Amino acid sequence: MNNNDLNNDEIRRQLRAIDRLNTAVVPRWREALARLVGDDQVGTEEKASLLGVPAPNRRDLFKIGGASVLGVALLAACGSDKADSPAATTAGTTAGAGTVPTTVGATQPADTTAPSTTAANSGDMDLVLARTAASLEKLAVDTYSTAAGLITTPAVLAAATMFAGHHQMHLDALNGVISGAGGKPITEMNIAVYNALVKPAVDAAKTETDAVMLALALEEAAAQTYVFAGGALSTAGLRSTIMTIGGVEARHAAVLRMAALAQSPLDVFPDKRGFFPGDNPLAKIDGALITA
Amino acid sequence: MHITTRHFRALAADVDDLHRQNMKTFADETRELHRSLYRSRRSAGGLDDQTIAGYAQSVELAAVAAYTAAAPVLSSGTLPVAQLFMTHHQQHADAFGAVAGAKAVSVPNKTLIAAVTPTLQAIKDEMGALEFAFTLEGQAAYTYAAALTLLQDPAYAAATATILPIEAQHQVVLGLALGKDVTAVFPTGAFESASLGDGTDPLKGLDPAVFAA
Repeated sequence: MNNNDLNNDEIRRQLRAIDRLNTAVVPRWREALARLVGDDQVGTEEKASLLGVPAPNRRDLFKIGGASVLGVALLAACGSDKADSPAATTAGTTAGAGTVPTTVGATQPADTTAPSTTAANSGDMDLVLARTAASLEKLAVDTYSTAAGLITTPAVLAAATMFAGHHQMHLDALNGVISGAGGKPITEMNIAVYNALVKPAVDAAKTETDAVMLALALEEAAAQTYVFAGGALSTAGLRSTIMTIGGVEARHAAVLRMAALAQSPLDVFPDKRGFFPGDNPLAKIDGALITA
Repeated sequence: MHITTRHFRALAADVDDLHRQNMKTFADETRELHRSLYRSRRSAGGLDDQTIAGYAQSVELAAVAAYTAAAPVLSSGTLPVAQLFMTHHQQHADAFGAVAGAKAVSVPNKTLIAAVTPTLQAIKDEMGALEFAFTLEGQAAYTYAAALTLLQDPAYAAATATILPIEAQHQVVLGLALGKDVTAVFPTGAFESASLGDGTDPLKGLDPAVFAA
């Protein structure tokens, strides 16, 4: 062998490495596609639309890419469509779905498109959101405990005590989810949110109204965090679970406004809003997301 | 046939570049495929996202109709609140209708209207109207908690998540206006109910299998 010859051993090693990579990846991709094509309710036209490829009986051009090429091969192999299947008749309408109103304000749902895209990308975000939510619940428990010292009205104190109990139950439920996913339960408050929002308010609080205003801010931030998570978590079950808590936080806020601050019913809905904000209220607080 | 090592490495680098470019496209298209699947898959409950959105729209329109029917017995102090809630429900109906596609509806849920009409006709005073609305708002909130267990597309879930807390807050406002104690405005305790029923249980949402529009 001279210097210009191929090193056969090196080539073989490289080829074996490539083969190992393909062997590991392709079955997972094949499984994902099998889940699509194995669904009898999805017609061939619709499958073609989902895969970004032309249906076998159409002649339109298709974009070239890894998924497209594989999709064409798969569709070619997966047989004929059922002309009378329900999905075949709804394929056209399905293609246009998924564009929800996204303008934040009193008359439109909040912009939650970004988190939903993130959720589709990774289930890892689930644990981050669950940990963050749990840390906020712990913060709420601790804050109500601190604020109780300033609350003198028995009815308000009773409500605050009840709300603290709710937050402890939420914390326990979230820790159950975290433990079930193999994570470590949260036992400490969210220190970043405490430093950014709660501590300044606690330090300045002198009256019962100050304490209730702090609780209100915390409840509304918590509810908004849950609404954000309601569009960001990766499974329907988790999204529902998180909103069974988020709805209650919103109730807390409404009670605090009307019963503790004597605000009018209309004040419960700032700017007459008909949609609860869904953007992440913690986005500008460094360290607020509990990633580990 | 022989090629030089240098030539081989150049070819390998070209193949690697091409591979990496294709993998980028592959990842993006796989991501889009997953999102598309969310939209097209039928849920475990047998309802697709658009059908659920259309159902929710019909329920919201029924709430608008119910508030309209109850309005004559409301006092001048209460009427603005009821009107705001009615506006909210119309906004919710519009939002659901915008994403319901072919499943969008133009009229209130007829089955629900038929079910609540005897109660509405029996309302004689403001307290009766508020009590009726209190129950309906709770059932709406629970309906959405249940809907979230079925919605496959996170975008639909996100929109629903912005609406559920508003219905819950409606119920709180109505409950406190009725003079209920704080415990009573958390009818299902520390967690919203995500159960569905036939409308007779105030602690369960409105089952689309019963109230299919």
